Amino acid sequence: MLIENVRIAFASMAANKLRTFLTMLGIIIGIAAVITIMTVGNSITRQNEKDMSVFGVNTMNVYMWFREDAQNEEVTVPGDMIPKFTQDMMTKMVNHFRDEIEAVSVTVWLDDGRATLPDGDEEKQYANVSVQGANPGYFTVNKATNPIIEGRAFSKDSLGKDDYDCVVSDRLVKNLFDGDAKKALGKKINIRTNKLDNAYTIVGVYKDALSSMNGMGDPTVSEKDVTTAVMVPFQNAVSLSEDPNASTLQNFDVSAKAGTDVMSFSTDLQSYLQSLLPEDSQYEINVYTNQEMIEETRKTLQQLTLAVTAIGAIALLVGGIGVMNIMTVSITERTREIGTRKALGAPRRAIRGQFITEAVIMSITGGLIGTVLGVLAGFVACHVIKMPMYVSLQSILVSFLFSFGIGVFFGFYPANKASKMDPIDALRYDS
Amino acid sequence: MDRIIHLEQIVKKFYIGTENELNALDGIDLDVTRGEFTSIVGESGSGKSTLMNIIGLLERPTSGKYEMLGVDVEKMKDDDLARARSRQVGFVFQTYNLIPRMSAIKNVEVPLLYAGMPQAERTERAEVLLEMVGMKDRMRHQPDELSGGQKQRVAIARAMANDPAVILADEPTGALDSKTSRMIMDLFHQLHEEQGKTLLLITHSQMLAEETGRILTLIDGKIVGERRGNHAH
Repeated sequence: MLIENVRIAFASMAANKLRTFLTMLGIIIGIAAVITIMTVGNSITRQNEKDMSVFGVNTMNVYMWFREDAQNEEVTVPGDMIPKFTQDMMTKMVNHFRDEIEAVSVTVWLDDGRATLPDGDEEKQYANVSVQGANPGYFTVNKATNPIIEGRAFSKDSLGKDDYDCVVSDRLVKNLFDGDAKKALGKKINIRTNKLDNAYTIVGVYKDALSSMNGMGDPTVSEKDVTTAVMVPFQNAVSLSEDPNASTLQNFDVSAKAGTDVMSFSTDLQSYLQSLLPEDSQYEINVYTNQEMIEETRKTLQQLTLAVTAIGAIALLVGGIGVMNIMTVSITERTREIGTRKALGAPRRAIRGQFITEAVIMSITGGLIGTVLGVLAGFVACHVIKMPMYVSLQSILVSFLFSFGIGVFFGFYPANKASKMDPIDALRYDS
Repeated sequence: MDRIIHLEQIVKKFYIGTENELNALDGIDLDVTRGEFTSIVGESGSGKSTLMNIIGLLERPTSGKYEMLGVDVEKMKDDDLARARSRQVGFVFQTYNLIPRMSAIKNVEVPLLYAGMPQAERTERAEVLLEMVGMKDRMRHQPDELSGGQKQRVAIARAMANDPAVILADEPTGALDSKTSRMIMDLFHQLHEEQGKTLLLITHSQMLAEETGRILTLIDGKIVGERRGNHAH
């Protein structure tokens, strides 16, 4: 009986192709909208989670900036006005939170440059580098992103401005030392940055987990030309910088010890640092955790998903009414068929079942088309925002059940009406 | 039990309680026994279609007693009537009433479907029936690819599907030319003589009625005459 009903449903849909398609359009649009947004949302969430695991869950970024309400219309801020963490504040912070803070990372960036071998062919063997001054704490805070895989971080007695030690990435090792990290240790390289040429000794090699991501977005940069960071001692970098405020500490990173509640610690840290500033200070402290950022994106996504789902739901509702409408028309057109079927012994439930099946088949077909279009649109969207796509199987299942439900719900009334038709009237009906 | 149909003082009124109240049937007494080929003759408006609808279990009489195969129809629920229609009654309509967009064989399968027969058996049975009416070579055709006579032959095969107790034919040749009409009537005679089918032919044509075994004349909802036809046993 069911197979027969499905066959009849397809035959009658095929007999009125345009009408069927127009009827399904509401459902197609509704389902496609929901699937698209769910696919994109799912992909962004997954990517975020992936990023979170790369960046580490226990790190946070601490910023000092002007308060939002501070009147400051000048575009350039004079040097003495730049918000900065003083040495005193840093010491107090480390003492106050000695049970929570694992390490503090301070950095300074120099201009991008190029690293070469002292006796090599500069045209053939080089690595594009960004030079970053870092304290030893940097390597602890970033152990998830940039773990040291060979050698060591800077030693305590070589942090001065004349200490030309460096920690390079596996990418640089690949470019200059054929990937042999052990061989690279102790070697000297020339780094040209800020028009200065300096020879540095490699003391460690770290794994550059992010440089593979940098290269992803830009097809014009070849694998070899991808810029990778070289770490030099903080004071050394400051001394080479052209920026007179290079040593000014406006932001730094902190990693929390294992077992610390990162969210509540970040709140405590923020209010403590704020309390170190005078009450009428025009600066404010902000502490961001990765979790917070992910949470924020997630919330935004959730709202977006909700909005699109609401639109999708309206489209589905309208689509469902369309199905109901067309089923009513179809049943009127097929009054004689219904009369004949009744004369041939069809009980009420058989007639009802036939037309509900037809409504369900119509809305499921619409749902399937919508799903395919939604996945395609999601694929295009993910491609545009350069993210690997994760199709949400859950959303496909939900949309399938939803279109099934629409068919049953909006098909029931017309089908029931058909099943209650008087066979005599139905047989006499002139179409 | 040889009495298939037993009608006693059957009355059917329409528009009850209004000014237009109409006695379509006004006290019909009728017995049909197994193997009879009976015709009911009447002008349009005589109530013959109403009578057929009541006999065919498509509607219930306003009053009177109707027993089909010894069962009181009044006591049957709507779905019981539907079941009885699928098994005991075969309809042949003037307008064929084949279901569009379904092949001849699928049309013949419909009563078998409602009687709960599995697909394989349905196909087998429908093929036998279509062969019987000479339509096997066109069984995959859609109704709109068939001529009037061919459609009616498919409809007769469909009426025979569940080997019903009675075949009700309402003006079965009303839309056909005389040559095709002859073919359809011959088919009825074949069913009657070779398979011993009980047939009830409703027509306004005296000429066709003469071919049957028993002729009932219906005027204004009453049976006013009964005589033997040329085909009487």
